[in-house]
Amino acid sequence: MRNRTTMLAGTLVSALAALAACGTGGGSHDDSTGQPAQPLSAASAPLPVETSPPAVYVAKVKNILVGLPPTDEEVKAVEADPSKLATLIGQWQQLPQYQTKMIRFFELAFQQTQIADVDFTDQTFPQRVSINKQTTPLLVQNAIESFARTVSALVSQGHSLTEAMTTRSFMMTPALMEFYAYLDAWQVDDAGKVTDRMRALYPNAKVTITGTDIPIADSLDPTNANFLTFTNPNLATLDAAYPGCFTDPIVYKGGGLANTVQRVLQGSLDGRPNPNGGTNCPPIAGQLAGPLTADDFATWKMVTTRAPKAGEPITPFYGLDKLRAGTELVLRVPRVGFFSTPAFFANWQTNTSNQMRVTMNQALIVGLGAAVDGTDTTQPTSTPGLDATHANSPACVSCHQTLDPTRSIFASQMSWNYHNQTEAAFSAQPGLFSFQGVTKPVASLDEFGATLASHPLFAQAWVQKLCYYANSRKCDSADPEVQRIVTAFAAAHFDWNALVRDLLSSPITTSAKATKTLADQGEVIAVSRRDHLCAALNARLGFADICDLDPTTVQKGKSIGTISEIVSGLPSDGYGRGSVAPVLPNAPSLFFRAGAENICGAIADLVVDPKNPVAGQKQWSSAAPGAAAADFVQIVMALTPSDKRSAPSIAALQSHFDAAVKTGAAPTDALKSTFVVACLAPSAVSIGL
Amino acid sequence: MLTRRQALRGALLGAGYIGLRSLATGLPAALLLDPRKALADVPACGVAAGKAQFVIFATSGNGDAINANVPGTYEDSKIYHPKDPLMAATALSLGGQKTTAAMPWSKLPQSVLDRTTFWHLMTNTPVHPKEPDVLSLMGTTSAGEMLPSILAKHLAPCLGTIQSQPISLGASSPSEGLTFGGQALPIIPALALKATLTNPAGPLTNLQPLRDQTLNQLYGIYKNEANAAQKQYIDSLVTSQSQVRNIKQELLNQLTQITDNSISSQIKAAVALIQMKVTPVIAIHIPFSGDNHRDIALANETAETVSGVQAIADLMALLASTGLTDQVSLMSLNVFGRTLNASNIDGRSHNPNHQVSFTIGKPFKAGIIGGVAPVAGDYGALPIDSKSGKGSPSGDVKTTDTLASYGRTMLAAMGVPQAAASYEISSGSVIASALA
Repeated sequence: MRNRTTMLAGTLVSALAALAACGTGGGSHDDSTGQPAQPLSAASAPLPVETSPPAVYVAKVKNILVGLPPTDEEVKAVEADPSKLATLIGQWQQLPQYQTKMIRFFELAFQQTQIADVDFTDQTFPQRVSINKQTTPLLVQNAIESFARTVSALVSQGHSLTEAMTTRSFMMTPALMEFYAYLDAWQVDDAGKVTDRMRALYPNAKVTITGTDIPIADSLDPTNANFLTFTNPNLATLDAAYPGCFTDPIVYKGGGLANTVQRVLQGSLDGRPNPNGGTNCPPIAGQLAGPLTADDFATWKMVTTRAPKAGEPITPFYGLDKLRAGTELVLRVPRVGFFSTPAFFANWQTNTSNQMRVTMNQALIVGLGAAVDGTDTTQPTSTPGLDATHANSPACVSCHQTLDPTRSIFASQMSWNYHNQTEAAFSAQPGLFSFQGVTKPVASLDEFGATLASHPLFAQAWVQKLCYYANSRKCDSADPEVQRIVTAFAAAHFDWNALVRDLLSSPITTSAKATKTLADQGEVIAVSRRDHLCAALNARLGFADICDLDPTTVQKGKSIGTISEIVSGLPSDGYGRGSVAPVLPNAPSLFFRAGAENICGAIADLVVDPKNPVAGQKQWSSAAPGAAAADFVQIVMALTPSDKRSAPSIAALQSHFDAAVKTGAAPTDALKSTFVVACLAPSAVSIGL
Repeated sequence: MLTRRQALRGALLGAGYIGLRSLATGLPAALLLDPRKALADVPACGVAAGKAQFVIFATSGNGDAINANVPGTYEDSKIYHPKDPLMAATALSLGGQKTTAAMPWSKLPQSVLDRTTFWHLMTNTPVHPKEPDVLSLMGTTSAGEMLPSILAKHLAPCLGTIQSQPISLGASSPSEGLTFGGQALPIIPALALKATLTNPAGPLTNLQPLRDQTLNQLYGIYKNEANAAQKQYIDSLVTSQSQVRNIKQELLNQLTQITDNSISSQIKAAVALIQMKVTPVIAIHIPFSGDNHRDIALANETAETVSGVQAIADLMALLASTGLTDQVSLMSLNVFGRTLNASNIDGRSHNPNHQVSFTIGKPFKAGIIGGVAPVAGDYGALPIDSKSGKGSPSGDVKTTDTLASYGRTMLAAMGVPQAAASYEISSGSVIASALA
């Protein structure tokens, strides 16, 4: 919505824009001469800097933070005193939806997303992490969420965002703890050679599956006679389906002990040679409940990881009772900050040629918002790990003289499969951090995290990440307002929630006042990308996960029909390898329009005269279309009653209902159609209106 | 020159008071005049008559090993190929030109081989993140536009497609996504496309026209209070609504066979989009080995070469069965190729010096463009003689220009005039011998 002062100019521009489109049948030629027409001076002049009123920017900020529509009181408070926006933001930060939104932001910003179970295969080489179709998605989702939940917990406790670089504590579920501990028991070196530490501990152990009832505590107790003998009540059924393959008992003697046990814990049985000859018995994936229960994938707690003391064993991954009760993991593989989580490694897999360069470059992009691109003039004091081939190539050396010593930090600690580095050539060669003005020897991942946390680019990097999220574009780093925010963030000891308040109440986000960013780049109005759209639908209509983005969500109100398929093609925040800026499709397309229409139609079935009402979920009756229309405008379209657009919008929706009924539509269908209109309204599917 | 007075008069009073209607409804005037025409960003078809084709553009940021097993790589015995019998060196003919390739390529129908051209190019990067740069022909395109988008922009008005932007169905990561005019485009997997475009039958769909009317009212209400940026954005919402309604609903049943996001489904979706005239260019991803650093005995390269060529065969068969063989061209371009020397037994590394593209379609003369020779301990593309298309150390197209020349030749194949092509791509030459 525009201010009155800009209306006249806007009308002129609008009229001239229409002229350009149609005045001469296409607007590109002068009919009299046949020559290309010169642009009209008024139309080609830069648009005036136009600010936004509180009705627009309060809705924008609240939507970004919690997905909810503004209230009249909130808008009026900011109209009376614009500084009240920061106060309101502080209140919104106390809502549960804020945690939800921030967790998703951190998942993306720390690059823990865009992964599937197959992406963990480097770490579990050569087997896949799990073959259970029911539990595998839950484990992957646990891995994706873990670090975001960690940061959310840290900042909500008042910790500095810099601790995201250095923390050795992570939010985990028991299932994820089991996975971390399993990865420590399954060592893979640079050449892909596996050392099964569980097998080393129990050289003669075998895994037995039987129909006999064995308490799981006995199965997992190394001192018990039934250690590694697991109960499976379905053996008889399976054996009937695959004769001879599942005859009680099944005994797994060879192969990787840790891997076999890990799969059993996840509820799967590996395939094995058929005792009767012929083709191998099939693996059984997803038919069995495993020792890990649904609660094990949904119970979160902060878990501290540490290296073993001399002679101390690592945490056994099969000790489920202790994992459920404990808050500590003893691991050989160092786990520090965002850059050593299984999800980050799954995202940025290295290999024998790459040798940690991609992992390091992405860590720099996440932590500092900058990549090794050959433009950095920082001169390393030495070049440990500099690749000889690249060192002799002028085209390559500018990047590699920085990247190779820095990636040696990872290479000295970890194998190419992200286990302990056992190759002396690498483990004996500590790295040198040399990037964007900072050069220092770094001997561990802890030191690397601390180096990121103290780097001068840290504050600016995280202001920019929030800018992209809130404003769908980069903020101009030369803008004095941006510089003020960066300085304030550092001065506040990198208090994340304070930064959110500062940036989202700033004219950089609100366009309430002219800024350099606004003057130079104009205002960006964007489609409500997938995460924003789904969060708004959940928050406004009372769904748990209408888009089915989280497989661990078990509440009612999950996606129906094809919504989950549609949202996989909606514009979404993404990041590409080597790219500092996220990929943000902002423009509406026919696919966005068509997808949104189908999503809104599916939701209409749930909220209008629902056959099976769900507690907490919004619902409207076709017997009261007037009230429903008013609600649609306020809740779905996020227009407060005092907004100039509200009354005519309500009238339009009411007219739509009446017209639909007149065509013979049932009142329920007419109101569903009315809901779809509201759901497709510009302010419902966009950010910045 | 159009004067301001003429302009205002024409805008507000001309053409059946379209200007006034536009102001009254808030909708773009061009949409009221001719919705379909208004949806094309380029005002008129500037491509030579009969040349415009729909394009299916295969691309991969993984740097697949297409370049390791195609015609042109079997003359040098030191180039390493998988030893699996499925990949045995096999004679084949490209438009009468005898050559050798891995067996899967020889299994393409002869009618397809007779329109197939293999291009030995240098992308000049060994870095995955440069995929967008390679699609922009490494800095040689105007405003960094990607080749698929340049093609789309020029072909859309000639083919009468609903939108000018290309569509990416197969991008496996945002790095493989496309941009158009500087805007990132969404990646729409095949299943999502099906769910997005298919209207569920029922009373809600019947009320669609009425909803569009009400939404147009709402657009007007919002525009009344909007600033210029907001107005512009609302106009794009209006446009997208009109585009949706221009989709031929009777062709949507083509999408019902899509059950996953595999290459098979991408192909079905691409052909359906062409039949519906949604877009002139559709990007897909055909795996041909992936990033196979660790690939024991090149088993994955073997498996995916077999399945990749089969996917091409399936695509060509589908085009034939839908009568589109002469209207659709297939092009490929990956971020880089892979190393070829004898050490590549259990995996291959990135090769900045050699990448092979393939083109299949009516505008192309079958054969091999360029060649491969030892470079820097491995192999790289040769310069190309622009007249003959042959690879030669004395070729007038330098290796660093082979990529841009590929782009220029693609534009020429689609009938884009030379002046426009020169504007779009600042270097390179048209390889005339590749054109039918």
